[in-house]
Amino acid sequence: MCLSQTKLSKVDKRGIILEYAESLAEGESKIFGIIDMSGIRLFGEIERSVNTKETPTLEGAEVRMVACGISVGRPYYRFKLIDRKIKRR
Amino acid sequence: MQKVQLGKCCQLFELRRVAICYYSTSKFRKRSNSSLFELACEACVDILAKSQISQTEIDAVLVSSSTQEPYTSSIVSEMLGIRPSISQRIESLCNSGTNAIISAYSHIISGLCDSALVVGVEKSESPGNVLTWDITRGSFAFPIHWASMFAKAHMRKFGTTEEQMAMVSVKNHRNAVNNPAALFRKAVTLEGVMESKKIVPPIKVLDCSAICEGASAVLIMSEDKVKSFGIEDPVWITGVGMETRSASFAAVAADLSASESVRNAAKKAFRMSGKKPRDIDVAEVHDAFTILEIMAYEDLGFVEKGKGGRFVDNCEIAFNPRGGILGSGHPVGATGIAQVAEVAAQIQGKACKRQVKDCENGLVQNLAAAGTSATVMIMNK
Repeated sequence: MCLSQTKLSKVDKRGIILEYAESLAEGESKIFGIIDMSGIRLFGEIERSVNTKETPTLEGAEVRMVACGISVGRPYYRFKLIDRKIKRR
Repeated sequence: MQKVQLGKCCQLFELRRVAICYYSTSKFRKRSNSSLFELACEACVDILAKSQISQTEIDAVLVSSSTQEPYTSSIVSEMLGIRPSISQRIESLCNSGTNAIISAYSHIISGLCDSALVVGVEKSESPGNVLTWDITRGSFAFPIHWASMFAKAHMRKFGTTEEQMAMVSVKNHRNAVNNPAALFRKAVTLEGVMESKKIVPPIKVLDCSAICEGASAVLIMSEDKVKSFGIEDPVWITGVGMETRSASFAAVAADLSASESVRNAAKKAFRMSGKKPRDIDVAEVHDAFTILEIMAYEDLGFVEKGKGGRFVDNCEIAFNPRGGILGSGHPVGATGIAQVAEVAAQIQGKACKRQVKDCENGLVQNLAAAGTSATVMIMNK
């Protein structure tokens, strides 16, 4: 039971990267970011195919959620870059 | 009595005055064999010994901790030989300590009690170190993940540099050298911070605070008690502000370069105290990561938004004289109490080698979980 505004709705799998970073922590070398999907914001991994040296900025780029689930008791969300053009800042 | 404006109301309220009278912070350590309760009692016993106040004079015992141990405040009370009317544990992650002090303050101004012993305590393996409850964070459950987002947003929007963030670490580690309770008592250089291991760029090892264990306690009292015990140098709590925006990172404002909760808590605290940022002589602000201190300068109103980076080594206010969280370590439930203890010591002129000159007005700012909640307190002579 929840008194917050909660509803189920079908949302586009596409979202915009609000901010991202690259974790160099041992055992967790990943690019991750906060993604806005129609107002829902999630922290997720951005697929490794992105070369951050060639693409100096990803903020505002468009991504698509390609996987989500639960692994070792934690939820995970994975995104793939689909458009490097800046959509929103 | 203190006449104050509360919240958005224009009416003046007369409130009982409440003061920090005694405080004690134990040595913060990486790990020890002491139990959580032994750590808590160490700081409290020191206060009872210093104050010579009998256990029967203490009406409330509040414990601030993220521990999973049940019934902590009653256990601590029994170990200390106190039978309080009010016994509570307060948990709000990193913000627990300041929350607990404001709860005790509220009990006293309401007349429910006249004196409260507030102790913050944490062991290194605290569940408060990982943000596992927030499913919007996915597999990125450590605070460094959101801190890197804040740092990148601030750098992109305002041109804040990695060197400016590193200067926060240099300053706070330098201050911690003079703090016998600090976890780290070794100065670091700008080069040392810049060359430290990158974890989530731009955040490096020396941009981060370290989890540790420790305890800190304060004894707070009503004005009547202060007078009856003849306490000569009480430090009055004259402004408090709190704000909880959400629990999940997803609900934090889209602008990752500012903390709305800190801004709003500061507005409330300054309004209640009648003070302005320019009146503050000393401040303990939440610096679990260097970028957070820069954001605190701005969100508390000490400097214009975006200019925090240039403010680090160019301000007249003493920020984090005990070494902040970066230098002192971060025993989650004890942090807020240790911040308040330091500002009280500074205002009393009892901060030894760390003493800031002519200290009359102090501020404490604390926050939890990416600034989803924040507390600001203003204290005066």
